[in-house]
Amino acid sequence: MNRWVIVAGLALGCRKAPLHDLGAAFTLADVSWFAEEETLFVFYELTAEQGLNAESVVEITWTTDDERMPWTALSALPSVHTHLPVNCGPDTRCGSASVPVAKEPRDVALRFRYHPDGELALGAATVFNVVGSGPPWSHRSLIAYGVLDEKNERIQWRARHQFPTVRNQRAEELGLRRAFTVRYPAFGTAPLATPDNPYGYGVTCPDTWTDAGFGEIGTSERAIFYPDPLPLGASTASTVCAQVTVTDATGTFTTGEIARKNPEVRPAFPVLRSPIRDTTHLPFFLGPCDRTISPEHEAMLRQRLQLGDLPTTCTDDWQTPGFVPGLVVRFREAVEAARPAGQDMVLVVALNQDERGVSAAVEEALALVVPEERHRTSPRLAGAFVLDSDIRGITVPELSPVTLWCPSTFYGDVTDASTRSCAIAPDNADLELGPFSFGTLPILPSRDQYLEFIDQYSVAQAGEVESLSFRAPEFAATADHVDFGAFGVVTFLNNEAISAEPDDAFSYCLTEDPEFVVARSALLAASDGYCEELGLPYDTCEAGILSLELLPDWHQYFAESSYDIGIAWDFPFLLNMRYEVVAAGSVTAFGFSVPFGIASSTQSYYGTEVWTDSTYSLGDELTQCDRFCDHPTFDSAGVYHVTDPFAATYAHNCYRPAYPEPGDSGSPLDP
Amino acid sequence: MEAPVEAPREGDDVLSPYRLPYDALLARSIGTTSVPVKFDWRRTNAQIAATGSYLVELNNFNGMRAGALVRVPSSGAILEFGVSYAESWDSPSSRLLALTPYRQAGHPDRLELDVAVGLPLAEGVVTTFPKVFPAMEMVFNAYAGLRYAVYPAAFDHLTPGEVLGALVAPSLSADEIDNLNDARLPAMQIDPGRYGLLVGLGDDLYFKSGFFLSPRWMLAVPLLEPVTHTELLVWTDLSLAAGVAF
Repeated sequence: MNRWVIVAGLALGCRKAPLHDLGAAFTLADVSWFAEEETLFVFYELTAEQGLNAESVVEITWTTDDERMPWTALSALPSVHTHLPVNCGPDTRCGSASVPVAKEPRDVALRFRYHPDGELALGAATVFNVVGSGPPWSHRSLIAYGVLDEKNERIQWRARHQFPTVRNQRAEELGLRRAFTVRYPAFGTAPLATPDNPYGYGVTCPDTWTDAGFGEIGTSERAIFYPDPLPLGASTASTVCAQVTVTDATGTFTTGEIARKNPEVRPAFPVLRSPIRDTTHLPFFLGPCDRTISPEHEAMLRQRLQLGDLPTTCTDDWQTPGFVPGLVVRFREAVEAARPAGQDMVLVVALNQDERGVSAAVEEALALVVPEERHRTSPRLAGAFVLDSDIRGITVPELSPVTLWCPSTFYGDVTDASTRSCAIAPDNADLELGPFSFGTLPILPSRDQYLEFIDQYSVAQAGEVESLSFRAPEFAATADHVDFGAFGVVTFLNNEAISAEPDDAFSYCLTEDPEFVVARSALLAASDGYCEELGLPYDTCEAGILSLELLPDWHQYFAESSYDIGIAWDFPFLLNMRYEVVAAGSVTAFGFSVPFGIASSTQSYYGTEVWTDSTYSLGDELTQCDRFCDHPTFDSAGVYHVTDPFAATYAHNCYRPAYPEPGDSGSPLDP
Repeated sequence: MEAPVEAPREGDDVLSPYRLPYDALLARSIGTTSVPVKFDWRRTNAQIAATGSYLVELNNFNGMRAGALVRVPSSGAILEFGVSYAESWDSPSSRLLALTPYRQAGHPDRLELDVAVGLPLAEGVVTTFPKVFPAMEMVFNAYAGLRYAVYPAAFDHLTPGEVLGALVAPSLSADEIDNLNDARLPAMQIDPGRYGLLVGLGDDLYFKSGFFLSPRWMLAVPLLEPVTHTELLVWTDLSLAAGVAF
């Protein structure tokens, strides 16, 4: 059997090596004739399987009223321009040619002859275009224009191929090189470019413009820089106009070209600073003095708020009429005693209670002290932090913007700072696995949760607070607060403002950072009816508050001269708590429980993240153009968008231009 | 020169006239191979030879090889390690083929490494014609070998990792084939096979001095085609090696 398999295999393999068609095919066979230049441009690309040979040639034929050109190798025809040999890969042949043809050709065709000595050739489906006579910016195969570097000082003159079916860079890739020279540059201010001619090629340079004093410069690449910068006197000039000369089959062609300055753009307000300081704690331990509710829980409250042996402020008489006023006095005395130290303050209150009504009384006292200090100049009482014995929330609305009340529970849709920061579930479920049980305790628990937990896992597994720190913004005497109640406050810290000219333009770039900075429009605040027209929230409109995102459009339409810059915030301080949390477990056998646990350190922030940074970098978020704002500019890839002026294009797009620099290659990205 | 035969004397044994000395009998029985060749190739340490061959591939290109061979006797067989330079050139047919859009598989110029084993099927002392050449020992071998083609130009622009991968890959990669595009003949489509398996027959002719000739005929068998993807399935290699055993 095996013997026959071998014999059969040899028999199958014993054959001549087959011939393969190399599968050549044109992927590009485009021909264009330009009447103004009397030049026939040819672009071709041909791919094949393995097997293209160097001897293979591309041939062309055409007919005019005067001649019938037989099939002729492109390489054998005279060339108007330089065409570099192009290496498109081992299985690809590509290139270009420019042939002088005086009269309009017809019956133009390309083909690929496999070998000059052979008779076999591959025909191409040739695309042929005729560009008749007309303006140079639309009827010539090359236009020229200028751009400037980042400082608007050095001019780079550029050439751009312009063919009906082949793009600028593709023409360059296919080997076409055009020589051009520039001379007599002069600067001035006039809108020489038009919508029909955005590059400004073929314009007539005004005689009144100031000569830049540069000599002639030329290249056969697509771009070249003047070696010298423009004179300082050209700073206010918007445009440089020069004479450019290109070649074609008729000889040379000279016309005007322009270089428009880039929009002068800078950060509108680079950095907004809001000093954030550590605050002074004003500690209180409120609880009954005549009885003990739970010594373990009391110890936990003192540990959590780092109160140590602070004397207890008695709440036994909380039902008497003088309790709340007395508490108010104590709070105010503490505030006034600490104020001379010059730091903002936070009331830190541990509330050890087990009777309905105590918490409400404390809330009432705090409401009389804390909100009124909210917008005072530093030093001030920034807010209060209360650690209660029950899972409760704030019931006094005016207190919620300035007080953290922990632990808290969820109130449906209400999401004040206490709810966001301190909400915990009423039940602290354990995981039971046979004799093992596992659980964790919130670092700010209720008394019931705490006592239940330590009964199961011991006090050692309940975690402990390592440090508490409060940070709050320092408000200057000139700070202006616009209060939106439960929605927060906008504070204009110290008369920070953006000034702008009517023809300035802004660009807003959406960033990943939370947006806290807003602007204020005096016109919006003073005008009626704009809110409805613009669809803005009534409250913010009434106060003239605009998000930075709206500022570019607002300035474009209303052109105000100044916009105040402020910070929107919803809570007056930030609590940073470092603590040790324990993943607790216990094993129960024969009536005995042995607790164990794994401790880890962590930290949490309570309040608002607005106060994590004392500086807000707006350099990338809001940029301002103050000159040449209606000029086109570059994108981040370095592409010059001639039809996209800064003002209209970048109002809501990030402006990250990549400018040309002296030393760049002569082939800028210009699709 | 034969010794003179003494005439029997009267009264002697009747067989006396037919008695001959042993040396004379030995000389008569061996005839013209009276001087035996006692070259024992199995006892040599190594053999070095220059080798050349003509490749008979089933395409329109010509190919020859020239190189060196080291042979080592071992366990009654002989192991061979060779390196050769193989050159391809056009035939009139391939020149005409280059004028067309058709291409045929072939190998560009290359280095080839050979590993083979020869198993002696028959051996013995043989005489030569014309007789001016001395008698020699002839070993008729069956050969099996592996041939590995190396195209140094194929590694251009490859990373060291890609080169390592290419060294062990059974067929040439697209990048390697692209790199070899300038090395191929105009009508040639580069065959991707890197390994070849060959079997064949050949003679080893050992002279007493240690000089030896080794003509052979090798046949490429397409057993590795599923992994090498070669289009040259069966071809032959007619080779001659000449060297010295010591």
